[in-house]
Amino acid sequence: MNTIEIAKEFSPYPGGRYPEDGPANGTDFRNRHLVPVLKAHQKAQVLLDGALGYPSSFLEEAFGGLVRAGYTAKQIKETFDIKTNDPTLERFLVLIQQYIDGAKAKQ
Amino acid sequence: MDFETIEAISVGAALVLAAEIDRWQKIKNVKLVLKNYSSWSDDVKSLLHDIGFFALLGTPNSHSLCHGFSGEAISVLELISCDSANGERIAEISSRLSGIASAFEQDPVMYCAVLEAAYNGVLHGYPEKFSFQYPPLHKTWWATASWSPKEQTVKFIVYDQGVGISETLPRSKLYEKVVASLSSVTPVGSTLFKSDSTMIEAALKVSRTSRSDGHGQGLRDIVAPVESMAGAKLRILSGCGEVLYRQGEQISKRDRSNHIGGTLVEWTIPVGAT
Repeated sequence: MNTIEIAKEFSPYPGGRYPEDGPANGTDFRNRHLVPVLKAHQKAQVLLDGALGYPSSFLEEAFGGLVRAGYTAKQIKETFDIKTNDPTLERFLVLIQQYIDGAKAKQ
Repeated sequence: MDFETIEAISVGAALVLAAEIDRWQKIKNVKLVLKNYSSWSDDVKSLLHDIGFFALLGTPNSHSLCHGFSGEAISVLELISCDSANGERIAEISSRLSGIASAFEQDPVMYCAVLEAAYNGVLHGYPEKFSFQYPPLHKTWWATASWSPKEQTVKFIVYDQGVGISETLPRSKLYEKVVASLSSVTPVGSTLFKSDSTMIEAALKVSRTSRSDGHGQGLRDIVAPVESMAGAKLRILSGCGEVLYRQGEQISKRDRSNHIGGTLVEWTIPVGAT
């Protein structure tokens, strides 16, 4: 299984939703790292370690945005095993699940 | 520019002042000149120096006090400014702060709060069609942090010169819930609905209890340090309103006669708070 280390492969300073919001935004992370795994019908581990934090704007757009892009919550949860070894980042595991469950698919 | 009569200045006020000078210089392209500098209060000069006020003015750096770790003086970080949700700029605050407050440990909750406050300014603070009294530096925010050895607290402050929370709220997805929350205690259209502090307070309350999906989550990140760090407090000044929120849901508010010219968000965190 591939591992996506957000801090190393994307940025340790995530924030913002859209490309115009900043250099480490949720849309870019979703399109570069998450969508290709779903399209290839593979599975991946997503490692949160090493980032300064995960603001709501980034997390919701990255993971909730997958639902709006047409993937189901079940597909997303089966595809990605989201983990951290840093206790201070554990709260974001819960938030990610909330954003996946709370996002509404586009009609 | 003569500050001879100013005896003391807070870090927040210095940030607002520095931001205004920054705006003035970039928009007007006019060089401001200091008057009676030798008669200014040493404390005022020191704080303005630390926050980068004189560097903004491009004036010779004649005042170079070093607070260091000893004594009771507050150490203030040179402000940073940006026009996007750039986390790397915000990380600069934390890394510099660790240098002066050795006991300070970065908490991801604080990073998220500062980033979302700055992002709120970028995203909502400067609507394109709004008629500003003074031309703003669109999407721009300013931030600093300070360390008080006497109080053993750090402060993080983010300021934007946008239209203010009560002006942007009607376009927010939280607004319906804010109106519902307020209308349970006062009729829609009453003067309370025109009070900036009431609108800020209602937005805070709704954001803490709402589990809304999608947009509108940022305010919850802004409040989160107060919820998770013992003794932390959050002060928001926006428009004419001021709200102070401490852990344990004690929210106090008031409205001032003058508009602050944007939104200032200030967290005070006891060092070692968990």
